[in-house]
Amino acid sequence: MSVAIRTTDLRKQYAHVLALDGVDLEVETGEIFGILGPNGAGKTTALEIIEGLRRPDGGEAEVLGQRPWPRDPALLRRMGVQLQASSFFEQLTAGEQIAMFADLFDAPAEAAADMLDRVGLADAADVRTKKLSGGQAQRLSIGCALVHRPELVFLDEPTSALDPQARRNLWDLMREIRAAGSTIVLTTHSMEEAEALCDRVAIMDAGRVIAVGTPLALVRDLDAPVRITIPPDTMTREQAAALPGVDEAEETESGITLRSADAAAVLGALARDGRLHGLQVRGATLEDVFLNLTGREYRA
Amino acid sequence: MTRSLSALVREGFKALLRDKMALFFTFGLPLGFLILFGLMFSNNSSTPKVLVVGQGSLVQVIDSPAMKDALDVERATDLAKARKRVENAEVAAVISQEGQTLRVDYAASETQTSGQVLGIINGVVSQANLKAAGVTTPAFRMDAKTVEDTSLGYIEFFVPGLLGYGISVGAVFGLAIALVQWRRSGLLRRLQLTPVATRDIAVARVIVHVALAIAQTIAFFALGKLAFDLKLSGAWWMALPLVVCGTIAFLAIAFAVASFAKTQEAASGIANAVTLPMGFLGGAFFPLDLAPGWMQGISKVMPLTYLTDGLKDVMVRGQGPTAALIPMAILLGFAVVIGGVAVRFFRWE
Ligand SMILES: Nc1ncnc2c1ncn2[C@@H]1O[C@H](COP(=O)(O)OP(=O)(O)O)[C@@H](O)[C@H]1O
Ligand SMILES: [Mg+2]
Repeated sequence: MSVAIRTTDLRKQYAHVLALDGVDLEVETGEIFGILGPNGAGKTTALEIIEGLRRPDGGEAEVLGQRPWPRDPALLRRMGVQLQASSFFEQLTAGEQIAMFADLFDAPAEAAADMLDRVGLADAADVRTKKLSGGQAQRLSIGCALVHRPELVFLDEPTSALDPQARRNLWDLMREIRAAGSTIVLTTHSMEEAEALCDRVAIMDAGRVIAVGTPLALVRDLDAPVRITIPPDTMTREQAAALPGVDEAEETESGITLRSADAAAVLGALARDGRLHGLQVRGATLEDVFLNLTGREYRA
Repeated sequence: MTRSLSALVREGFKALLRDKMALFFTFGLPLGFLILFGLMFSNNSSTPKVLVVGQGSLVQVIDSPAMKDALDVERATDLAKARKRVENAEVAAVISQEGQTLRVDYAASETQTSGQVLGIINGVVSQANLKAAGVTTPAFRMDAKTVEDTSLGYIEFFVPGLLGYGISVGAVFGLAIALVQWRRSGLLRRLQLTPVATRDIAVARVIVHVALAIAQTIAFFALGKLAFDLKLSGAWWMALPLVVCGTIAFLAIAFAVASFAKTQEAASGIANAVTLPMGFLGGAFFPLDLAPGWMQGISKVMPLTYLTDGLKDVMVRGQGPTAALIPMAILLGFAVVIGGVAVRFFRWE
């Protein structure tokens, strides 16, 4: 696997905050790489340094084999960027806006209309950008980033303003782009998005990368107990606690929740008694990973 | 022209045409001033009004169509009533003839018009004397030409003056506010992530604003000619290169304003603080010849002064094309100096 992005020991100090405190990242060509973390973790700063928009105080970034700073038009042509805050030519319509970006990147003119359609804005082509809703503006901004079919795409919280349906559509679009061979780096504070969409994630907190890997591996390495919830009135708490493999049982609103490091034994016992009906099984999530690494609840 | 440059130019024109405020400030306001000033001053003719009473050979000359340009003559019958009107400053003088003597009653308090009237009447009497003495070819003659702006008709003063002002307002406000808005919305950062050259962004704005200034010039010439009988003299077509150089100087000012202003409100405040004094001291609204020395001194550091002066030279003072060259060079000099300072302070975010 070739490497699309590599950073070593990126540091960035703002007036009162240390935004990046030594960030090492490696993004492989063709993957969807998520940078996950709570607000203020330093995701945007890291992204903007990689894009060449900011200069780090220390450390280095290498993008598609080149230095992103100072600005290099040839490199910029290969990248597509959606910034966290949408910004447009105010007096243009959505259609003109995306056509403008096609012009700036020398992309085929038809690509503009196609991409507008692809992000679900064909009906809003004649709407001035300042009249777009938050979600529409976000989709337009993503469309403008993708119109020239860049081989490396940066999306900073691309789905934060989207409703669930639009979010799913966007996930599909990103998977298509990946299938076409592009690399995508996105930031999100949604654990769900990272798990559903990203091939690999880096979890950031307070200017550092605290974990990197596939969402599955991160969860598996955690070796966290599985939670099994039995519907109410099936058995008593004491009976449940006595099942093989159960480490802990507690009564909750939705029934009795068991924690177990050996889910197979618990489920086997329940299956023998014919008590699988209405059962809920939940493995550890990235939230547990975050909790485990920082000792804090994850709050976006 | 590259594809991105032409796209940026098209965006500039669209943005302008869709921005009603910008259109008002670049066309509506300066042209409105021209109409207002033109109407205000066109009736206020500079020919003094006089009353003539009775008959006589000299009275006949004064009340002839030949004198129309010099005096606004009205007939009256009652000498006493006519003199009252002089006292009330309704008319400049009453003229009557008794035998060989032409009598002029005037108000000494109205020095300027009285002087004018007395000069004209004195000329009429001298002419009559020469004729009576049988002189057909006078030995001496006077050839008088005025040199200052007061000699220009009002419209000949206002068209170049207000044109210069309109161009300064259009360029300074237009570019400064657009740049601040681009910076605040993050568009300037966004553009840095496209391959477009910074030079293309700048060139696109210059193209848009120069085209706009040319449109303003055409509108001013047309309105002046059609509505106010503007009399052009000299190399008036040199107004165009002058306007281009002026626009470039004002764009440099706009760039400087945008470098220092953080918000759009601040930008329009500073733009006002620059263009209004420039309009007053730069010869846009009134001539500077009679202004005190210190005011003329201040006007020397304002690019608009050189634009309006150059425009007046080639449009209405009968000067040849070379008269525009020095103002053009000075305007470009301003652009280099101001633009150079602004570049140092400009921020992208
Ligand atoms: N331009 C800036 N000036 C000063 N502080 C900033 C600036 N941008 C971000 N920060 C601070 O740096 C930290 C990291 O911010 P950011 O990279 O935007 O995090 P995230 O994108 O993960 O929310 C935050 O504490 C934020 O307040
Ligand atoms: Mg952010």
